[in-house]
Amino acid sequence: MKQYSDLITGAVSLLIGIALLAMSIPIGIQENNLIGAAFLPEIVSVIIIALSLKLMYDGFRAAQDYEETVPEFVKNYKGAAVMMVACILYAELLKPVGFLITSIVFLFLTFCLMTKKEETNYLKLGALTIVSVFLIYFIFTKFFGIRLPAGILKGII
Amino acid sequence: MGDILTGFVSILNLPILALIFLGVFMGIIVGAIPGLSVTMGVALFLPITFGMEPIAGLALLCGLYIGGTSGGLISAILLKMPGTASSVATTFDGHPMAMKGEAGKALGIGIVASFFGGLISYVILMFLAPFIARFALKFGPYEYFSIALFSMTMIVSLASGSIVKGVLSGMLGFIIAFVGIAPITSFRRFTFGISDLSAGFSILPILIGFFAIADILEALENKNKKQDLSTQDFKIRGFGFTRDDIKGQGFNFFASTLIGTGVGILPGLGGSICNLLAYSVCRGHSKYPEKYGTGIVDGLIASEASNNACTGGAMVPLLTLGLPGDNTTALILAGFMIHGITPGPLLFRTQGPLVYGIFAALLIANVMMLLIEFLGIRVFIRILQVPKNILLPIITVFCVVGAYANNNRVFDVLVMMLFGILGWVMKKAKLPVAPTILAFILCPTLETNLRRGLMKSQGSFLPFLTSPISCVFIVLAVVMLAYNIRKEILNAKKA
Repeated sequence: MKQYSDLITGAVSLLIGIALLAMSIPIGIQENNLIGAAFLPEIVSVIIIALSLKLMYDGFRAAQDYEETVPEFVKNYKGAAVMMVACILYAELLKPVGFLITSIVFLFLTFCLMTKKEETNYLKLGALTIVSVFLIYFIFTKFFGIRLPAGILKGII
Repeated sequence: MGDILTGFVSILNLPILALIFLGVFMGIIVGAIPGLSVTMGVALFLPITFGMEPIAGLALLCGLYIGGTSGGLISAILLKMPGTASSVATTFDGHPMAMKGEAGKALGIGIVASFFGGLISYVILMFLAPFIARFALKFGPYEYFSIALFSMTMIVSLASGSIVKGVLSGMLGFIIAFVGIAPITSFRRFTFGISDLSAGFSILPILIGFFAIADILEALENKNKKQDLSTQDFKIRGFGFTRDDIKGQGFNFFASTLIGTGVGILPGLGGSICNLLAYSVCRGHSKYPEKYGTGIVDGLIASEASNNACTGGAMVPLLTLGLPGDNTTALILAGFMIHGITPGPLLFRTQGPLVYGIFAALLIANVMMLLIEFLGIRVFIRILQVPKNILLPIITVFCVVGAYANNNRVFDVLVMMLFGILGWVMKKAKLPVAPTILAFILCPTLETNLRRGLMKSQGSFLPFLTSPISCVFIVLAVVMLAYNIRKEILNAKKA
């Protein structure tokens, strides 16, 4: 898969370039203005398409000469994927659930994900989570006067 | 000369010096926390200045501006997370230095470069402000477009390895900047019916995402990698560097300071790009460009000298023309207005002592910045002793608060997270992030002035070449591009 990295990057860029062009043309027609909101996006899309083709060509040639190397360590893609989902959920739930609860869950999960299994002490990490979140909350709300989403704790805090 | 002395005397009293100290100190804290911006710091303190004497209030705001701009270097060097947009390029060499056990040295050099960069720009401001402002006033859409175009060619220098990938990354920055209301015609584009996208993306969530979140994802991916557990030696003497460490950096420093001051003078460009621009120029002129990004002092000096020099430059149009160069100077302008003072060409004549009082406040704030950060080096570097598995998650929560507080929008937190994932994917695809950021920052200036220029010339590109200033920058852009492409072809042949 690694040998096709540039080929894949080029193909994705090509799709982005085509999509940008396809979305820009109707803007130009709608505005009926040659130097309008679609002018620069159209130029950029053409540049992207041209460069993507060049990258795909280079990537295709590089894939033929590719030599596999033994990796130093096993990559933790599963952990990274869990983290990505956690990040999006954190952002989505921040307003309805509130900063304190979402941050405590997210921070504890991230601590657990990032700490090696043999070194994990859930009690210590839990305590650190609660202290950190409340400290951050206190600093920003009291010191900087920033109002953070209270969520379901509205009226309590 | 009389006004200069009166200006200095007006701020040399304990309450005003204490306010400058408070401003610088708070500015450094705000600048060092990823997600909190200088603009936010100035906005927080602006209402407090209402009840103060004009010079006292403005001195506080100047302290915040200088402290905040410089404070960004701390997190950029120690955590590879730029505290402000003006310290993006500091991460390129500052953090690798910290990883090599030279955190104290990197901080020391960064602080000293910031100090002298700022100092020179304030001296330029003090003596040449009215003249420079008159020259900058001659800049119209043709000139602004050409400068933005020239700056865009720096993408090629920032693209280490492959020009194609670098330019593709830059184009991605354009796409991100296109989202929202288009300049001039206010046409809503690429918003997909999402109302939050109408205002476009803010720079801060994008920056935090690309640097902080992407870094956390990478750290998780490499969790099984054997870590170097040897502890670093935190004992440092003085500023942590010797004269030999900065030998031969004169050109680098002065070129970066002039770039920073010059970019700061031009309204609309600002500190966000000057550090990247100075870094690219110094790298382009270096005898060993391949070493940039590996932890050399050259890159660090270029970035830090230019971003603090930019603060002096940005005060030129503000004081002489009443034009704020960026969001922070716009708030400082508000600081003038709440005291009933209108900056402009007459300010030097009608409020001479106040203007020179501000110059004096800038100089003193710069000295205070040097002292506070010097004393703080030994404290700041202790952060490297905190294990990454504890430090990175806590910083993520800080970043969430920073992204949210930027506009009080949860949407910005989502943007930050999504750009973090994009940044990680870009790292996997070996697409450099710096060109994306540079293009994102420059796109509005480039597009607005291209379209404004073409409307002015009724669709003709000729005035872009017939305007002398514009022509110079276009020729420079073409030469720069051709030089880099030639270099890439030669490198490919060698390989």
